[in-house]
Amino acid sequence: MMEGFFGNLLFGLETAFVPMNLLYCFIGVFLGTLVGVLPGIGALAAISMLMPLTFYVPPETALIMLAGIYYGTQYGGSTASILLNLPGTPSSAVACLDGYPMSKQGRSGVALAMTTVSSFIGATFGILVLMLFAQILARVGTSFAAADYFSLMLLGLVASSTMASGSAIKGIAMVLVGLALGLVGTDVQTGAQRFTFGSIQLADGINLIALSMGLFGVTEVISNLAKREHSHTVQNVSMRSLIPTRQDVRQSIMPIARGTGLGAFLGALPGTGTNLASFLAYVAEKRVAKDPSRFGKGAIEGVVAPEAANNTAAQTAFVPTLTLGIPGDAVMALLLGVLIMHGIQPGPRLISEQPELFWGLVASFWIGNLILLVLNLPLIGIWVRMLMIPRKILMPAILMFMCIGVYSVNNNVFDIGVMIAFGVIGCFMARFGFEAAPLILGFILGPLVEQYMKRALLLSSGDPMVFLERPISAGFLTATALILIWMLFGAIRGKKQGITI
Amino acid sequence: MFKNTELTGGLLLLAFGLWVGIIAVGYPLGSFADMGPGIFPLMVAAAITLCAVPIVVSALKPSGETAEPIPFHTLLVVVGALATFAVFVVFLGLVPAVLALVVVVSYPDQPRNWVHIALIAAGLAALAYAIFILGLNMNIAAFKWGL
Repeated sequence: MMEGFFGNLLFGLETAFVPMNLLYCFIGVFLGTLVGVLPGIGALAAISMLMPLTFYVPPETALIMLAGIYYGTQYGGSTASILLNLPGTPSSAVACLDGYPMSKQGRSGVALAMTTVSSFIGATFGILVLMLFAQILARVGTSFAAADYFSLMLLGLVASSTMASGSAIKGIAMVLVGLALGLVGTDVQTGAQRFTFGSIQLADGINLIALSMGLFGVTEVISNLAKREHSHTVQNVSMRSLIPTRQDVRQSIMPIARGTGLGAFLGALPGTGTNLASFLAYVAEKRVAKDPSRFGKGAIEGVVAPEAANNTAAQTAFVPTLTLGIPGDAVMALLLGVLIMHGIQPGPRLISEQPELFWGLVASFWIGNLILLVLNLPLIGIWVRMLMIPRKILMPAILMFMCIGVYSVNNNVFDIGVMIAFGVIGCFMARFGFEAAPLILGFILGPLVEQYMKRALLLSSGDPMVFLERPISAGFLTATALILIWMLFGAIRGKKQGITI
Repeated sequence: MFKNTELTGGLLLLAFGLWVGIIAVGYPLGSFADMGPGIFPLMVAAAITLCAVPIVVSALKPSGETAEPIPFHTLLVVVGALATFAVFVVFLGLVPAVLALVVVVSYPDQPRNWVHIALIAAGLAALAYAIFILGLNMNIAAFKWGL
């Protein structure tokens, strides 16, 4: 086992150390830190913006870059939380609670340094978990039949949409709307044109890049521009102020360990992801603390544990995505979408059929995290200054990159129109309390769900009992049913009880 | 109608589900053993409609929760900027499209500083030219006239 472990790692490093892959890994984590630092632009918008670029490179390089953006944002996210009390990403919202008070006490350097260190420790552990479990899960997955896949995807869709924030039923509704949008275009099996309304432009389906850029990019720019805040003034962070005291380090060790464990577990589950991981890690620290009243006033445990948790979760989220083809959240779904665009079928055979891609990607995580350590410790001053870029420059620049990106995919203005349409739809969805993330999940998995369903029924000559007769499939369906029942009970007993921090 | 956003959202969802269902019935349904192109869309449509019903029902007694209103003014500006880019890139090329995009987005700025806007527009156009045409060698004309 250990031999295989190091063999695979070395094999992956060979791919990851190809100069082009190193470059794209650097670009990914650099941009990830940037969008993480800047409040208001998230990983989803950044990944959608860079998806057009991935047509110019091989799939492993594309994935290395896009994954780098994702875990890079987890590092950068806490910077604005600590310095400005404005979370750069949703998962670093908890970092405001104790990080900003630390900043007001003049200890922002220590807070920034310790979050980076805890992020690195968490991520490293997360990658180890990913490497160990990937092979095991992938081996289990190869025994799956079409019916099992169908049920697994159903479970993944239901779990990730109901666990997400907000109303569970609206989450499921959005997954279904995503499934419906995924139907547009030519039916693979029969060649029939569905929902194209005679338009040739829609024969290939709705373009994923235009869709996600509209839902995430355009809506984020609109809500940013509508706020009309002005640029921030930030205190400077000197190298000397980064050094923590011995007491800081001693107080951080156990919280980092607990946060890492919690993050590893929650990251691998569908739908829980980085936000819940950091939130629960904070709650857990407050529970076990000898003196909970210190929290909210600059307790270092309240900064390091959530940051360790969300970075671990960001790495273990790749376990179900890459080994089973079940994305836990919208970012993972977009990464799978990129694989599909490159003609690679996600699923348990991915590791054995595309070993360069899988192990190269995993190895790039180590490299990416090392780069992030350098980017976020000695170079933290650069990011602090980034917070002062006026929005007058930033927002037009983002719009420009989105337009050119969407246009360049097919050299077709129709795609810009699709982006505009979904930007508007996204604004209305937000108004009505519908989230866009489950929609993307449904959109990407939809065609696969339909395909597996058709195949399973074809093999059973039309007997729908096939989904219940196979034990694996029946297990997944039972789990799906349990989640739905639990959700219904939650709805009947009244509103979700908010956990108070 | 817009006051109760829960109800409006639920009704729109219901309408969407029914609409998808009506179109799906028009496609051949086939049998379970040999599914036609219409059967899966019909299932999705049924599920959407099923989801919409409880949302509509629970919205009938207003809860008082209100989401942030849509910033219609900003929405219009951004949509205008994107549409301008789309038209300009087809007929005039990339550089005029970027310049026009920046001008439209910056137009509502208070106070409006034309020197700043011109500098930002020129800077971004140069950046776009360097990255996409010089760097990535994309097949987009920097300047052109007509289709």
